[in-house]
Amino acid sequence: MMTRRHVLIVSATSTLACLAGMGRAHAWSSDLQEQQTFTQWMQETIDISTLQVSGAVIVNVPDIAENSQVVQLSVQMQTVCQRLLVCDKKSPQPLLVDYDFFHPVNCVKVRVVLPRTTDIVALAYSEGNWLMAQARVKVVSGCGGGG
Amino acid sequence: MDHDYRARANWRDGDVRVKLLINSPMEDGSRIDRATGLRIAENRIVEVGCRRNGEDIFRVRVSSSVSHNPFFLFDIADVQYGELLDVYWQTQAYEYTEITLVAQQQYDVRA
Repeated sequence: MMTRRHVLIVSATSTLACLAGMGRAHAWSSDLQEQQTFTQWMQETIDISTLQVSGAVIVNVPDIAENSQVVQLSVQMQTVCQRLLVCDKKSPQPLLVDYDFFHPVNCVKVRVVLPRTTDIVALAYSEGNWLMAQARVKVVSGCGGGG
Repeated sequence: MDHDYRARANWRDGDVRVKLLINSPMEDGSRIDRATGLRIAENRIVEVGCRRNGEDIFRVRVSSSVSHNPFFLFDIADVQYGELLDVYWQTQAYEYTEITLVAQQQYDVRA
């Protein structure tokens, strides 16, 4: 026989399960939207048919950034590049800095604002190919547990 | 408006490391001053570049996501000792600043 206590427990459990599912769906949808934004931007900006992940380009970022207003990142290029795009993968406007090189440059460094934990993507154009490298930076506020 | 800056060019073994720190609030024109309720005017660096003997070495287009008082570092290959490098930057209001650096050996603690 169903008591009032049983009914309350079942209804509370099902409500919590629904809410948890909605949260996960929202997070998944948000991630998908960010991914679509970046992919769309990349398709509009570069020739992705020549895009390849390469070890010739190395992105150095701090693992944990405590001050989101000043995050120092550097990109090392072990090949001669003509152009370098540094992007924030989760931003609606991904492009952070756009370099044009007319002479060999080995390394660049810049300080940027990153409002959230994100992936920094470097796209370097070298000898007709786009080379890609990325690194994750965790942006925290306070003691480093969040982000 | 003049932007204060700090810049140097450290030469070592044929390469030169250019460091540039520009004093700029990097305001993108979207923030509102809480005290006055007025929008803060856009005031930011939009382009930085370097030339040698009139020829471009690099040119950087800077977005509004770059931190205030932006810092740039470049390791440029194949530069002779004592060469002159013209470094310039420009604001969104077309205020143009150009300085000349000499590629020299300088003592740098962090190098």
